[in-house]
Amino acid sequence: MNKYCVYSKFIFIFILLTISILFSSCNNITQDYDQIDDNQIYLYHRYNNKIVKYSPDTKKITLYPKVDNLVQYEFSSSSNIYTSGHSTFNNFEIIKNNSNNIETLFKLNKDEGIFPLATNNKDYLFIHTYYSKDGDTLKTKIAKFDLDKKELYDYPNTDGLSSTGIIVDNDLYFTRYEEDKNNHTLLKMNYIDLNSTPEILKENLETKFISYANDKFWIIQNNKLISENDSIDAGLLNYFNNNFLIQIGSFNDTSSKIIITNINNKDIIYNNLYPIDFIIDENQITIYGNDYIDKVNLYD
Amino acid sequence: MKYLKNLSKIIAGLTAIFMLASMTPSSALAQDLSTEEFVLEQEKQYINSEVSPRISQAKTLNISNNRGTLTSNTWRQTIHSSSGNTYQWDYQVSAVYNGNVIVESIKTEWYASASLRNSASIDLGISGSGITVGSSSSWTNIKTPTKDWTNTNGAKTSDYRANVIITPKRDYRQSTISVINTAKLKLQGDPKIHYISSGV
Repeated sequence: MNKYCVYSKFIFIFILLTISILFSSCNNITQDYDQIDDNQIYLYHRYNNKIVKYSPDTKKITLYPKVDNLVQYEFSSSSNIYTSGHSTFNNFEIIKNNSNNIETLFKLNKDEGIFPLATNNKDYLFIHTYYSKDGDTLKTKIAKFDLDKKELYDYPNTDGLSSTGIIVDNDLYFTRYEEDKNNHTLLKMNYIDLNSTPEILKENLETKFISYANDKFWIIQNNKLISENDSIDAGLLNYFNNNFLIQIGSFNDTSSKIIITNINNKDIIYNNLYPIDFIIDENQITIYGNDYIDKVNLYD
Repeated sequence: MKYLKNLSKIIAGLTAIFMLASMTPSSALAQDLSTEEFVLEQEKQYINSEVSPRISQAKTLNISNNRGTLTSNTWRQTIHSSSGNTYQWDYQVSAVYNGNVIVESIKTEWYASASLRNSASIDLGISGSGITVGSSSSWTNIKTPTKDWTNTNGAKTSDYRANVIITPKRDYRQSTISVINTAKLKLQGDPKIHYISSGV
């Protein structure tokens, strides 16, 4: 009787193990996010491009993703929509951070990639890449995502290595990398019309960065953010919000920092070490870091 | 009874075969780590007439379509040096891109960890990189703050060298030191970001 029990259990366990191994698929790598039921939240670690779990009680990251090459990508302006994919296996998705859960909005085909380009939080524009089986980039298009219909539309006349963009009224301003010259071109396109053709505004930009705040465009040259009559030291990540500039980087040092500057008078109104994420709500910014959560008012 | 015994042996055998067969797809996961070299170097290095053998690991990621490789290198002194009431390990971390695409940014990011007790401290040998463990007399695993060095000038490497310092000696649990390094690479014209980690 005893031996019968032992052997039965043995068989049962092995059958379960076999079935679970047979049905698991190692190439179908997407990041799994579980629903959070306690006080934790999902944040985007901007410096390391990963959605992480964070506890506002302990003020620390509680779960950091284990797979190095599963990367999440953000928009340059505040948004809770991101894309996620594996740098070798693709499996790209458009996802939304609802704070206590991550929602998949759209899944791309196996040999495609999707990366945020620009948003005004009504319209969402992406870089849509198509790869061969060997990982060769076959083509790149700018694409619009319809949040209600959950559909992605390519702009047919947007070939080229587009990288960064900003929406101003009905226009998309974006930069495109020119491989033969190793510099960037600034283009403009009416994004309402799917058949728009971009027009070239400026060539030979040193970096891919383009942003717009308070009626001024900003680019980066010689490690400085430049607008028509102003310049500020550039960080690795630079986000404009009305009169304020939020920067994250190591600034030629070994510790990651966040610095918030009033663009008008160049006063640094906040700085701290090891930032994780920040969220802007009207005129207040909440900065989440390692061991701290700070709220700062963003008005003159 | 005998039937059950034989059946369980057959199923065990089949399961072993299935497990081996299904392990092949998982090597596809290992495909993005083309070389995992765990090299124990018994190199004689003369630093101030001291012999310090070192332990190192290099992990390499193949970037698809022959666009090159990203390697994360970590090495440190195998056995600590002793100085006053401190233990020290010379270490170096680097991120190296080998390929023909222009680099937009390359970063090496690292931390050290060890088991300490009684308010002992560990430091990466850089200002602001220290941390002190709690006052408990039990061994507690602790990590230093994470440091990084990023190059955005087209350089294909980023590296850093310093010393891990632990004090006092008696509150360090032997053989628990480790240094972990994550390399991050962004190539011009490619929206993807590549990461690979190594550690010793």
